[in-house]
Amino acid sequence: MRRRFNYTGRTRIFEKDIRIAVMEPETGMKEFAADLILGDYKLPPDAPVWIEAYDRYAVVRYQFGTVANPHTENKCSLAELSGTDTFHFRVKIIDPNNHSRLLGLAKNINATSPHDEDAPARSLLRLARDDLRGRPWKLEFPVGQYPILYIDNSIDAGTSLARLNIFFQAVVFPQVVETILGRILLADEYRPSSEVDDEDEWKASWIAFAETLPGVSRLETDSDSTTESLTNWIEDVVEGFSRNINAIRKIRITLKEIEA
Amino acid sequence: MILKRFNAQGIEKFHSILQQYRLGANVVAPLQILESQQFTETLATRVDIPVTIFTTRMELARSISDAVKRASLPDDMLDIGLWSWLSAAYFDTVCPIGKNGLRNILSDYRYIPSNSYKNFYRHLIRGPVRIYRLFLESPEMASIVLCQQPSMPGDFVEQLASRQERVTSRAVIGAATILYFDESRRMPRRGSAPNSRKPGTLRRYIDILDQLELTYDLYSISSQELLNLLPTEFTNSRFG
Repeated sequence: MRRRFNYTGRTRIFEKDIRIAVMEPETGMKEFAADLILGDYKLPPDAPVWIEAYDRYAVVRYQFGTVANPHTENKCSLAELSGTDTFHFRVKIIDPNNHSRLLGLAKNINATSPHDEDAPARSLLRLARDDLRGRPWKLEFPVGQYPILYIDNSIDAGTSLARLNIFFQAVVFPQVVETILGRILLADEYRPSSEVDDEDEWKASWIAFAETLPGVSRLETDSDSTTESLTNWIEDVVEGFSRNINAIRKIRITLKEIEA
Repeated sequence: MILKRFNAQGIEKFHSILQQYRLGANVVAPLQILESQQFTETLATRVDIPVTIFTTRMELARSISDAVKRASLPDDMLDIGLWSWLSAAYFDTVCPIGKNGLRNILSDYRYIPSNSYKNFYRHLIRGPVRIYRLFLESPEMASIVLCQQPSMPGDFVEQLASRQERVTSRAVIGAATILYFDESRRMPRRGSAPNSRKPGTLRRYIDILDQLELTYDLYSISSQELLNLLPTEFTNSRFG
């Protein structure tokens, strides 16, 4: 099992202290506004704060005041990004006495949903489209980031297939859950710990989610944990998840509709 | 030639043409589908592009970046039909005929863009255009990842362009150009990117960046400041 230790002295900024809302004004050019709560961190009040918005193709950076006053009067435009809706944010706190030294960091931040500005639009699974050459869907695991479920781009419904189509959800999602937890616990041999490394945050979130499902016990990962016990726990999760989303019922409804 | 894009049928046709090439069908560039109404869409803005063979990624990126910009397409980086059509239009550039008289057909994502995080940067035209745009004010700063032949990007591109935080950092790319770009030959220095982790080589540079990224903001730093942070193994270049 791989363990990581944080010797960097860098402060981790938690996502709960960050609210970033993306807006699309009448100009059509997206921009964002941010609300950062940094007062409880042991950081120099005059340390500069930067927010970076990025997608695969580009990054835009905005100086966002200081730890004591994380604020900007400037418009934070996202126009330079490619237009994909899969951009993310980083928040960086820089040493006021050394302009390149990193004192604090939050990575892989999602924007707040426009429909619920109080809750971050955290998604355990990101959706994207790609040419999958005959496969209807595929999972990928970018390093240190939440998994991505790709839907073949010749399917007209696109990513809404996963968001809205109950048959797709019932048939595909249990397998997705099983694959992701297998990756986390069996392939990567990740074990939850009290201090979560940035790169493992998505794994901790998935385990925490799994433990909330009906009929799923807390994951025990002592030295006696075997592949068999972990596999059994994953099975419990998949069953609990399937019941939670009413997978069987969704399939039956869809089949009845087809017959009708 | 007028810039166009493939429609869904055109992209599928291009996939099948690539497969035919792999089976040794013929070596003629797939020009026959570039103008076909069945396989292409006309862009709203008419843009002429040169009929030529580009010899470096820099030349290719400069010309195509400018042409695509003139087309004023929204979200052009995501336009699979556009970049696929460009690959077919410049097939002799991205897939030249080798000394044996055959084309070496690489994976489809080299010619038809993939959105997969593993391959999105590997498209032989969209890839260099992406980097060129990031360094639009001083493209020479990115010479280490734009100097190669378009059909053979090589290890510098693979190692530096695969990670968003590296390729978008002027310091990371600028310092790599200072360390590894041979100005006189307009190519990477000989011996600077072996597969092993010899002192001062590309893979050691990547290892050190992985460490520095934990404690430094590599966007706030200049190339020279980054060079100053590197260990002594990088001080004296011993590459040809």
